Amino acid sequence: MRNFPLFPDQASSFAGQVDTLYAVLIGLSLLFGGVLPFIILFLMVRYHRSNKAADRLNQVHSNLALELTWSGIPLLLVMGVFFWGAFLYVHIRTPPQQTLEVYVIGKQWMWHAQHPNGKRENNELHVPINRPVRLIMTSQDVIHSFYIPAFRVKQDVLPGRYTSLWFEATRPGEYHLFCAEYCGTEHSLMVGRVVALSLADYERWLVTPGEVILPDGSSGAAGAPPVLVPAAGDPMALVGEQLFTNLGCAGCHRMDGAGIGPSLQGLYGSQERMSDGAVVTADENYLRTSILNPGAQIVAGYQNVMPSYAGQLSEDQVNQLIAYIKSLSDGGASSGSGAATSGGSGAATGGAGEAPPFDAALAAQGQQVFANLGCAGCHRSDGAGIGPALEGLYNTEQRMADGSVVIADEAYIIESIRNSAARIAEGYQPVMPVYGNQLSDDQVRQLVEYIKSLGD
Amino acid sequence: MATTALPQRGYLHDDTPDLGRWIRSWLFTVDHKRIAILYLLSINFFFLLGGLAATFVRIELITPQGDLMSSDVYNRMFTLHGVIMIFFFLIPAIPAVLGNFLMPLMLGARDLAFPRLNLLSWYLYMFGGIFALSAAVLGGVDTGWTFYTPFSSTYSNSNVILTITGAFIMGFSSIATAVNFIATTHKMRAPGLTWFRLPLFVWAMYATSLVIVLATPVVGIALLLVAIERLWGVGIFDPALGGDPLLFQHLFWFYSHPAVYIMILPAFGVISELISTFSRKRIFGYEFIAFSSMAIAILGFLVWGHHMFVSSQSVYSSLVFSFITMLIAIPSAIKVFNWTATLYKGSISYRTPMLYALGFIGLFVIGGLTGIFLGVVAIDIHVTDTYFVVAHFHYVMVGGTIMAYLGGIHFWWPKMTGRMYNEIWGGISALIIFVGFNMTFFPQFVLGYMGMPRRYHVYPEEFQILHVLSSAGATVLAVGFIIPIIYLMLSLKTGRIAGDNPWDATGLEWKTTSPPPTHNFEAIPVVTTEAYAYPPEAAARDAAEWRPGSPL
Repeated sequence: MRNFPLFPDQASSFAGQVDTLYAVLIGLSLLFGGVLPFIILFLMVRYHRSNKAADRLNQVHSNLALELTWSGIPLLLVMGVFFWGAFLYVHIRTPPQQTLEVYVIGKQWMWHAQHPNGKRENNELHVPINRPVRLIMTSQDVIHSFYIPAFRVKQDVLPGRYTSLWFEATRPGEYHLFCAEYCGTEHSLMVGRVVALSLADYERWLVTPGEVILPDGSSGAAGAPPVLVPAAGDPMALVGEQLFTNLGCAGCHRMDGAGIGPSLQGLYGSQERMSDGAVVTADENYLRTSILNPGAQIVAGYQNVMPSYAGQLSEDQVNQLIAYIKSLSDGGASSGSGAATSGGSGAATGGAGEAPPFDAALAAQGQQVFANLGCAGCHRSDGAGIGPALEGLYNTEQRMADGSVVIADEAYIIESIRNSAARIAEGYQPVMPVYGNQLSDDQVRQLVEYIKSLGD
Repeated sequence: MATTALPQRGYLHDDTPDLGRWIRSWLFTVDHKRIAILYLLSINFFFLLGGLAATFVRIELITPQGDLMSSDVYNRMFTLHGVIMIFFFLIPAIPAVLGNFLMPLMLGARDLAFPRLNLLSWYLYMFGGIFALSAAVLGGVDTGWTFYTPFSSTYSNSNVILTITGAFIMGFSSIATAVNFIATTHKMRAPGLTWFRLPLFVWAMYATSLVIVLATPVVGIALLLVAIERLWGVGIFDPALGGDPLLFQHLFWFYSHPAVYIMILPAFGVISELISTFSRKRIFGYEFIAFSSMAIAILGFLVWGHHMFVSSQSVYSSLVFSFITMLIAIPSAIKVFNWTATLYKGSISYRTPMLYALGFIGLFVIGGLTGIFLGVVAIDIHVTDTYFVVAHFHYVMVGGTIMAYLGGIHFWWPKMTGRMYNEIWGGISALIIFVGFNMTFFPQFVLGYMGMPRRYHVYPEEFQILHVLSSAGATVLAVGFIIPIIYLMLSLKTGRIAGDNPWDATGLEWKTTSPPPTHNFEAIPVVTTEAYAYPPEAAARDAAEWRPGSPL
């Protein structure tokens, strides 16, 4: 069964419940889909024209009681299934009060996540087990869909608004992360892994330094080099506060309520009355709209004087502002787990708690750089990526697209990182970004050591 | 030619000696039967083209790596498959071929109500087809057949406008056909042919036509809006321009869910005819089958939101859509039970059309039941946009519509051409298609529940076994589709002369010659009986007359 499974891993609190309902549905289907064909087969044989013995007289052409029976019983069954599914659905869509919040940004074709303490990651999502996690997601371009089969959760990720998703992982492990909504050329490479860790491991991971690409730093614009930032930067709320100050928001949104804009203290999660009389809940989408299109909903008693920040803030910055505004409210969902606050830039130089078992310290750092740059998204170890696998690469002969054969020595690897377009391995496309001087000499050194550690 | 009425001469007959006039006699015909033949040829051409695209997709998916083609080519391939199969095959297949040929014959009319509109609909179809084909030839389109915004309106660099134009024009072709059927059913029924004496095929076509007329304009508008946003940057769907990306999905599925019923309702009609004829018995529960078609047509308009359970629509709308989706399962179940009951005490023969009909029931039951899985929101969250959905709609569309289409083609082939096809090859290919179909698509249910997303060019290795199985099944399926093309073509030359009513069936279409004369009937028939008016002893007599050596 290990090589031919029929069910995916059950790794969240929903998985077992969804599978149970699924199994019951299969059972009910067999009642119809399994029995009906045999009835048809029986009738086909019993009343085949060559069977002269069959009684064909006194035919019936309609029977109200029969019609009502075979309409009524299925109706009762589907209603039962509907209500069961409906309650489970409402449960799946209702996050608990206290959740760990992670902000996710989808873009063609990668996932970017930022944890409340500022730690970022690309095409990966680290979560603790046995704690409800809520993802607050948006897209920078087209519609994507965040799908973790082992958790039985999926939610479309839309541009221009937040959607959210919650789950509680139950088993440590690595699980598939897929984009499930077709999003263009490399839709099938917009994949990654979800790593479920024990809380202690997760907290250790949160303070592990590393570097990642910002979602808007690696945009597809020609020649735009990816921007590397420390993965464990400042906490989101802190960056948001700085942004809040720099943008001058505090001039109007005074915390004592005396400003020309409403105070944001305790705003998140509260009910706000608008100037048109409507009452709205100040959730993430409301805050987002109020920043990007402030005229859309005006709080009662205030004037439409706030400038729009649409186009001036990146999705990342909007997330940070919202994280800050949420931190001003204690009634809202919590993002302040011990893990979330213990991180910080101070830990940037701290050693990684879980260095891979490679002997060279440089290789270990290189692996971190490799992961944070998202190299593994293309250079998949199983060779199925759009870039060649790097296992066993070092010091072997490699055939290039132009037919030449080169030895993959250090110089070759350095050149491939700095200027990937110089030589393309046979069978691959020149799609890798040119990292040029984006990487320091030290980082390139670390990457080379890491790649060397993959070969023998 | 116009001077003498030649009622006994088949509509296929030509006395025009030169090629130019022969071609014109086909291209400018207003005879519904000739137009049906034009549709038959062009629709089957598109079917083969769509099948070719599917072949490339299945070959690519044998290995987890993207090794046969690039991602861009793969995306264009599945889009081509979807666009061609949905818009240019499944939607027009049964209405435009079988409906065109049979509606006037079944109603006892000389032609459809608007013969010229009928010809126009074929030209619109071809015109739309040329746009879609030129989009494919000029580099393809990579949006998927669903054209989701803002990808289609802003981000895709492929031939979206050409394809949309093709689908848009094709919509008018559907509408023209539907208007024609509605008018013909209302106004041109033969004397005595009351509504409850109509064959169930006519009921199904009537329900389909209503759906086409009411739903198609909406998708036309939606596609037009995509084009406007794409060409002129007017913010409608793209949030970056101030639009709403979900609006498109609502408009699109408001058409495209009813479109599922545009594809499957005509199939129900065909199956009712086949089951009754080859059981030599009146259909069981005529009114229930007729009204269930109408119920499906109406409820079909109220369930579009079940395509959007994870799109961020509100919890309450999802629950309402889920509830109505559960309800729509009932009329479909009613049909299946009534067809099964029709077999009871019949005299059943295993002729090719009947094999297709029985295969249809088996496959449609699986397609319908998995539809309930998808209607339950908690399960849909996990399996939507995976191969589970792919398998489900192929069971309904291929297992349903194509099985019925092929069954109908075989059933009415003697009427259309005057000749019989080869029964042995017919039976063999029906079985091959049934087996190949299940091999292709059943593994995809498992794949989907395992979490394999759809439209993936490259996929994780653990899914490979099931993908290889599916591709192997597709090979069998392809063989099953090619065999009928060969023996049906051969039958035109070598087939046995069929006679007016080779199946001993009851419909008005069997009362005229095979192939029918241009104006269908020498005299307009007067109807005095219900549809399927087999005498009570017909089944018993048929069995009594069966001898070893008679057809099974």
